[in-house]
Amino acid sequence: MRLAEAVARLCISIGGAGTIAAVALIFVFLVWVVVPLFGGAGHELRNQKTVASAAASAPPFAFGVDEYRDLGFVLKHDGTLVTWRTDDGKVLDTRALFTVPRLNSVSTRSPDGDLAFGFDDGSVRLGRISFHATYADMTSRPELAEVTADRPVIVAGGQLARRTQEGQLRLTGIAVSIDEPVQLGLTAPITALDVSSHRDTTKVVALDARGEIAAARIETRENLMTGEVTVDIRSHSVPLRPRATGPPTRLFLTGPGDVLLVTWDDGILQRHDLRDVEAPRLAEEFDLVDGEGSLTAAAFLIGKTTLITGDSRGRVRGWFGTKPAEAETPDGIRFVRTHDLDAEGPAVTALASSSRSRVVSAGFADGSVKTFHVTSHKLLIDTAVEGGEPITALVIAPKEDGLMAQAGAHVAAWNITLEHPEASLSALFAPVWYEGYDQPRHVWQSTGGTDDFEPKLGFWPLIFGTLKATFYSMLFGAPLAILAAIFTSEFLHKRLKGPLKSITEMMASLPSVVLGFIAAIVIAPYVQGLVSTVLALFFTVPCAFLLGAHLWQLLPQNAYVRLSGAPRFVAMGACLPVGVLAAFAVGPFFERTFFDGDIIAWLAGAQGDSVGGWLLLLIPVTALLYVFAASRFVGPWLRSMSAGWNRPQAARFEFARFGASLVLVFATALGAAHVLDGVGFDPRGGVFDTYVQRNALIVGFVMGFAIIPIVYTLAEDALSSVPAHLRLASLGAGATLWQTAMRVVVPTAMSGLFSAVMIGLGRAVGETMIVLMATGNTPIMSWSVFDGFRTLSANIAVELPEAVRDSTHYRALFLAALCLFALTFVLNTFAELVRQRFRKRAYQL
Amino acid sequence: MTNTFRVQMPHKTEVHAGVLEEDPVLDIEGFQLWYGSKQALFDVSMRIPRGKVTALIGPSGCGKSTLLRSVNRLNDLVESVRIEGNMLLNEDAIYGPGVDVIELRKRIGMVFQKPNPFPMSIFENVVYSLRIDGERDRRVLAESCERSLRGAGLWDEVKSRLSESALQLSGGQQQRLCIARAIAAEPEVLLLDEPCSALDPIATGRIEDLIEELKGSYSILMVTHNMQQASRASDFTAFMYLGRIVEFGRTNDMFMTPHLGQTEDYVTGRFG
Ligand SMILES: Nc1ncnc2c1ncn2[C@@H]1O[C@H](COP(=O)(O)OP(=O)(O)OP(=O)(O)O)[C@@H](O)[C@H]1O
Ligand SMILES: [Mg+2]
Repeated sequence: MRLAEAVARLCISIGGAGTIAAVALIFVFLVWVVVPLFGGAGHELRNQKTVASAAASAPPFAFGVDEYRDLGFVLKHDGTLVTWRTDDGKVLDTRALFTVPRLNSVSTRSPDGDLAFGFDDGSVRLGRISFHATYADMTSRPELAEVTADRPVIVAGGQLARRTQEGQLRLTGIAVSIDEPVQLGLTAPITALDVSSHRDTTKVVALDARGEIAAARIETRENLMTGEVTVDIRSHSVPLRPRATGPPTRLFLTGPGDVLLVTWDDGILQRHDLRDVEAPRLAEEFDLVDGEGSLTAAAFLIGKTTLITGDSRGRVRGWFGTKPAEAETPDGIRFVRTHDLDAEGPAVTALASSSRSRVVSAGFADGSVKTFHVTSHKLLIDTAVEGGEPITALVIAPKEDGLMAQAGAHVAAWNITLEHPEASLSALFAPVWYEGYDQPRHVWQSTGGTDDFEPKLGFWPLIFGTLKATFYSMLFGAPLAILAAIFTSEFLHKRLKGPLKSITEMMASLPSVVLGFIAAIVIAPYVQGLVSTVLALFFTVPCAFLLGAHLWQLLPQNAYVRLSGAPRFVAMGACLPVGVLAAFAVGPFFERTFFDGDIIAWLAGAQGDSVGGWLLLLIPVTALLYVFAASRFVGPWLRSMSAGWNRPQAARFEFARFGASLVLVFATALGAAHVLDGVGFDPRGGVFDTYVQRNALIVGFVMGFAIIPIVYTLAEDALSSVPAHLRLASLGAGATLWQTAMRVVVPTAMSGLFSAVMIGLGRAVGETMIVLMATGNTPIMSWSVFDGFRTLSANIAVELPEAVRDSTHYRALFLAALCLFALTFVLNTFAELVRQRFRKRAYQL
Repeated sequence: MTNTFRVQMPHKTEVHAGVLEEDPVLDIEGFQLWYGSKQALFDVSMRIPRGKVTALIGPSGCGKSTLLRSVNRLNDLVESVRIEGNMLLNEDAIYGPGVDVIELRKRIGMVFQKPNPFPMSIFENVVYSLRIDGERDRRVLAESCERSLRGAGLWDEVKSRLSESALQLSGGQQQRLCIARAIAAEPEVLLLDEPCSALDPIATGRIEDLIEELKGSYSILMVTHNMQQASRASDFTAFMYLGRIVEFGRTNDMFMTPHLGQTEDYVTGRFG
């Protein structure tokens, strides 16, 4: 006996501890995956070498590093291209690319290495400076036998041979290709130019020393028969708005080449609409530096849409075009400052953007280098070159694993690790100004079609969706479950109580995927055809029950007492179908009268005034107000008046009063609706919005159905555990069953009811399958009952399979899981605490 | 226990002379009650005098509580209860077609064996019966509350903390609160079912004093197991046995000169 007890106790404690440990482990695991999201970026100086022949006092025309960070190059102002080894700074290759005409400007190098060169005779050449890497077998190249494990790098024939970790030979060299010169109609030296390619069409813009700008479209066509290539150049001049300060200095052509940005050193930017190259027009002009200091550096971010600017006062800012409703520009676009990355300090001397993500590095006059993630504003790296000379050129390695800066003759290289640069608490939970949006917003959009798509990981739409699903399902499920529990524990015949309870509990065994499936496939399309009827149900069913109750009171005393058993239940049950049938009549009638015959079109805002919508919203409000006012002010007066009446009289009076109050409520709501409509408020866009088939109404209904069993069971238990002697005391004092339930039983069981609702809430928060199938999963933040949403749980279910392991997206999904875990944990703990208190109190009774 | 049982069960209640002259507040006529197939009350007939305290004594399980609960029809809540016969409360039939049970119960106050205050404030407990009648006037409520608490001898103890929870009171105070709650409705008859059995002797004494005070203004029907209590506090005593009223008379007579040996055995403690 003793032994059995000891064993049982051991088993129980092991089981308990195991459960706690498992929950804790899950928590630890989630945290483990999530924490790196918020880890900072790392960097270490790899080396700093002096490359004398690459030295430049002014920013060079081009500055680059290869994918493996073996070679660096610089294109100097005299037209020579110097390539060196990054490990020891020894020059590998020097070639003069251009002599006559003299090279005067070069565009920013694209991630592929494409550039445009501008010459002092006004001509332009397109070309490419890139690295090419080839792999070779060690044995097939005997001349490279010197490469050994101890000496993995040698120089051979202008190329760098490196033994890779896999034992292969990688030969890296620089490759230059330059097209024939083209004339854009400019004759003075080209001082700035930019190029942008889209399919077969290349757009080039160039600025000459006199301040003339030419925009050209170059189309290359290949004759498939002859193999002959024809190049078609159409050049047009872009008229600038003249400025007294002289010619502009920089040109930027956005990604698709339809917007030209022209800047002056004093910080003024003119934006020209270049969608039609033949008729360019000025769209807007604004100041990039707020009249303080001068513009010293500017560069596009990946995608060539966001412009990063640096000025002499050390400010680093981001700008892009938005489409606000009130834009006064001819093309409806307005450029706005969307990012303030760095406050005042030494002048910005160089900017470099990453070719992979929205990361930008800024070099300053004091030799410091800062790297930011533009969207999240996160300062990733803050370092400096040794010596403190101004940074003249800067480049982020193609794989974002290194950073290289030139300061005079010195070239510093860093190894960097940017883990999840886009993630930060504020980027995940605060509104973020994503490129192309007209204001900072909460957006969840984790995957997109294009390479330069930026994942948007705003959590609020998901949290909002979770709360919305919970709210609507609780709105539907909780009152129903609580009322059903009150009904079974206080009114129902003891013999019916058992079966009813087990039937309701059986409802809980319906798999939620089945419920979700039914919601999506059956209920959603059905409701879409009957929106007005379904809405009417919310009014007709309660009215039917109230009407039934009042009619019942009209029965003669004898019949009333005689029929108070089973017949009353039958009559009560009959109210439901009556209410439903009434909805089928009332719904379409209202749809015709107030919604111009089509409520879905009305919801979309296509037709009708807002009276009908307000009416829908105001009827429950006025009904509540009426009930409150009637019980508060009219009730006592009526009671004193009707004190001497007999039962039939009172019943008839009550019936008349019920009818009058219905009319009154409706009339008040209608009047208020007209007033609100007259004032110009419209509920559409707020509580109502365009009808989506899978919406919160459906989810509220079906998920409400899913949480009813648990809430019902717990609530029923709480009510039943109210001691019987309290009921007897109340009934003995002449209270009705209803009064006893509402005044004694429910208040006594309040905390138990509360914890039942909380447990239901926890269930609704974590529910996945129903919301996954019945919501449409659109992560939008809209209160509308007729809009879909996406919950944390459904989001995890949808996206985790496609998330790349250890990516930001992957970790963000784990963060979603953590949020969910925290939410349910908090809810359940809270419910449990309340329940403990309740138990203690019940014990005292 | 039945081997000390002297005589055969009488079929008729032995009613002392003088009892029938009293003005009855409650007139029970040939009342029978069954729990399912088990009969719990057999042909109970008695007239509870107005403005007096009537004690109901008898061994456990003899049907005292059943009789009390039949008066305010709390037995209706028990399934499978069946009754015969009738009771009249001030001439109005308690059982019968068309009787509004709710209205009826409002005319009868009941206090239970175990103090059962509601888990609300002292004030709300006392005015509960007014509340369920829909009374909202604070003045009326406050007046009734004070009157009832004074009537139950609790006013001085609780007047400063009317809004505190009734559950904080001691057992004796709780029971007096229940009495206050019962008399707040100004009932025509007050039913007390072993009101002191859960209390210590001091609290019991206070309740007995209270019953003494209530006598005159209320007609009280009280169940008790305590013979001293019955003899001290009541004017009339009915002895009940196995679902029947065996003997009914003035308390003095019942204790000093009972007509039946059975009663004598019981009141002298030789029985049960
Ligand atoms: N709800 C019920 N269902 C079935 N039988 C009951 C019920 N209540 C009481 N009885 C039975 O009726 C008989 C009388 O019970 P009652 O409670 O009236 O006795 P009592 O005289 O009050 O006893 P006590 O002095 O112990 O309180 C008992 O035999 C009891 O078992
Ligand atoms: Mg009893």
